[in-house]
Amino acid sequence: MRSTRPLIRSVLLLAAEMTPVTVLTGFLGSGKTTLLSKLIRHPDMARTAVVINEFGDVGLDHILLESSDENIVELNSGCLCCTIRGDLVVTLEDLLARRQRGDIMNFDRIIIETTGLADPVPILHALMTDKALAGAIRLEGVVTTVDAVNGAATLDRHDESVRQAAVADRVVLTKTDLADPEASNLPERLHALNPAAPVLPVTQGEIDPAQLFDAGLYDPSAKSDAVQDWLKVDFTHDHHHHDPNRHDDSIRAHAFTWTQPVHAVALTLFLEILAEHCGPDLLRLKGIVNLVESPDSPAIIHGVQNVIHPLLWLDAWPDDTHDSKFVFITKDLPGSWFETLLEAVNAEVAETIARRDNTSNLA
Amino acid sequence: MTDDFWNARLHVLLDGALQVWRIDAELTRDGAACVLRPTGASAPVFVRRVTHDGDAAYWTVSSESDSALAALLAQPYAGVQGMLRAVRDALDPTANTQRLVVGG
Repeated sequence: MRSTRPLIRSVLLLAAEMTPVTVLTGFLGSGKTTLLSKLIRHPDMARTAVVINEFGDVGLDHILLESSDENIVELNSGCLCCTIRGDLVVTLEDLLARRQRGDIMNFDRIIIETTGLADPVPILHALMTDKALAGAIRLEGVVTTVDAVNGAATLDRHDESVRQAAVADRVVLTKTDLADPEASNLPERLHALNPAAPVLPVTQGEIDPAQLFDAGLYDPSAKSDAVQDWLKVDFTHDHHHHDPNRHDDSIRAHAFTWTQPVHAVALTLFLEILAEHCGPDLLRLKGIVNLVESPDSPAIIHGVQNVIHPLLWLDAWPDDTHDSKFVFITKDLPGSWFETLLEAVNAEVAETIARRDNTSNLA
Repeated sequence: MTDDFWNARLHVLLDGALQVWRIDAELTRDGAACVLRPTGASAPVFVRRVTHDGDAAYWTVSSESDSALAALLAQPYAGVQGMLRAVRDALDPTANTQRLVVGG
């Protein structure tokens, strides 16, 4: 609906003013701190605040970062995903307040490093729903480290590592100088878990920050990396490899393409039904949607559990096929149900609109 | 959409919903209705889409169980959303459900 464009533009501008927050996660020993240490030394990352979460009273990662930067804050009273989500919110509020007062160096980005055992989903949920942070920060993405040496075995043994990889926007494959990840089929397995996330091999944490940041959903350009990643996903089948001995057996990625334009009301109903019925088992949802009311400007949807980002619009379609595309990362939900549900809801809304239009024409 | 479209979709929709809800139930057809018989429960739940020429279609969810549940379900549901909520309430009244939150 063209009359909504000024509002859309306002939302985009508002989003651009919010401080982007990236969650850096990964299992114990997977190379998070090494990666972070290299990242914060990169000139492009000079204006970055870091929040480090460690178990125990004495944190080590701060020392390992070899920095006394005042913009690095430790949270070591527990695990973010378990007990100290409130502490995280308070810490972020405090960081933002100190920046406002000029007490600390200005920063235009925040990285939160989780513990190795953290489930990132509750953290994302907290970041997206806290009223005190609303309007001040925006969740830009999740970067997950998986190491080439132990990554496959860790996925076998630890459900946390599966969830960390499944919800990532970028997977950083570390220690590739020590082991060939192909030998353990790791890249293929990560792709099956999370087909929309690029897997980026690194050694010693060396990577261009541009590959990890500034590729978020708020870039209205259809040329953004995030959108281009969408188009590389195979939308023809479930990305679920059945092997009952693996923890990732219950984590499923389901991607599908939808060729019919979707009514905005139908999309809203669809998302409401997903939130109500799937809730905690819907780990992440991403989509680019062709709405009947906005055929030239696709909508981007992005959600975690029952929390959905406000819809955002791209200026144009990134390719010639103006099809909607959805990717769901779930815990043991039937992927085909999403398509059936969208089809039913969209058909129902179309019927209602057609009946209303017929009535109007008769009047 | 035709009644055939909806009859086919309703069965698939409820079959998937049972998996989403983690509820064991037998799902069968009885004419245009879908019948759900939860494991261990005696009273089945019937789901139908009702159409009349010229009128808006609606859903009904009914049960032969006690009167309180029957009273709860005794209303038409305008859309899939209400229908699914009613079916879940009928099969698992204690289920924890969430609501959509639009967050940052």
